[in-house]
Amino acid sequence: MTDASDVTDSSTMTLMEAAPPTTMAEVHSWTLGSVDDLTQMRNGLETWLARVPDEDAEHGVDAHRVVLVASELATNALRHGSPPVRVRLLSDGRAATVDVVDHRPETPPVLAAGRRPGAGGFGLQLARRAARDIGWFRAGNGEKHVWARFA
Amino acid sequence: MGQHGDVRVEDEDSLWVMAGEIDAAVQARYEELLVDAAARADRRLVIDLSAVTFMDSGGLRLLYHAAEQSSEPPLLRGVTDRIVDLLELSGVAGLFAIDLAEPAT
Repeated sequence: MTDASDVTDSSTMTLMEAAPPTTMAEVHSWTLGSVDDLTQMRNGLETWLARVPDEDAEHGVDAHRVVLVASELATNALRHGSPPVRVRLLSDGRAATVDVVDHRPETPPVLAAGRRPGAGGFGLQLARRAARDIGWFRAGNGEKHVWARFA
Repeated sequence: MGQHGDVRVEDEDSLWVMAGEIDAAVQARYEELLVDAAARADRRLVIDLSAVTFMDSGGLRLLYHAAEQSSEPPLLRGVTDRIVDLLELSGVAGLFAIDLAEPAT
């Protein structure tokens, strides 16, 4: 399968270390103990996103991509960040940010270009392409946040 | 314990029927089975996605195993817009033959 080589080289890069925009407030959050809790989080997120207005507007939030990225970031956190993991939905009424919190501040998220699907770093790369921007920060209380902003 | 997505293997390993939410939880349950099925199948793999309601890179990993092990691109059947978006964001659309789902209306 020669085409597969297109997606198997593996350059890595560092993710921007920054907090998300402070104009957004938490709308809801979900706590996950394992990958079996992902479904419940996604369904809940979809319900909340339906209430963010302006969805029909040109700059509206693509709910499916928000749910996809939340799923990717939460899966990463469950695999590498020691559960429980918290998924937070932030909004200013127009745009939305998904913020995923784990308890491994010493392991920065790794962005890997061209990794094979499911390999480390792939989900974050997908998130970077699907969201407007992504970043991460350490909260100082033993928490690590990885966030994605949609707009 | 709720199982929100699953995979059935039919036609002597060559037809995989996925349903529901195909994520890391489903990947954990089915990855080994599907790697073996992909290695055993002796004709083109067909993966039916028409009953899939959600897929992320956990599910993509399962599709990737099919592509890795076959001599011709696996056929994805019943592919929705959301799955096309996922394949394109991931840069792996070219590894598959894609048969789009009928429009909902």
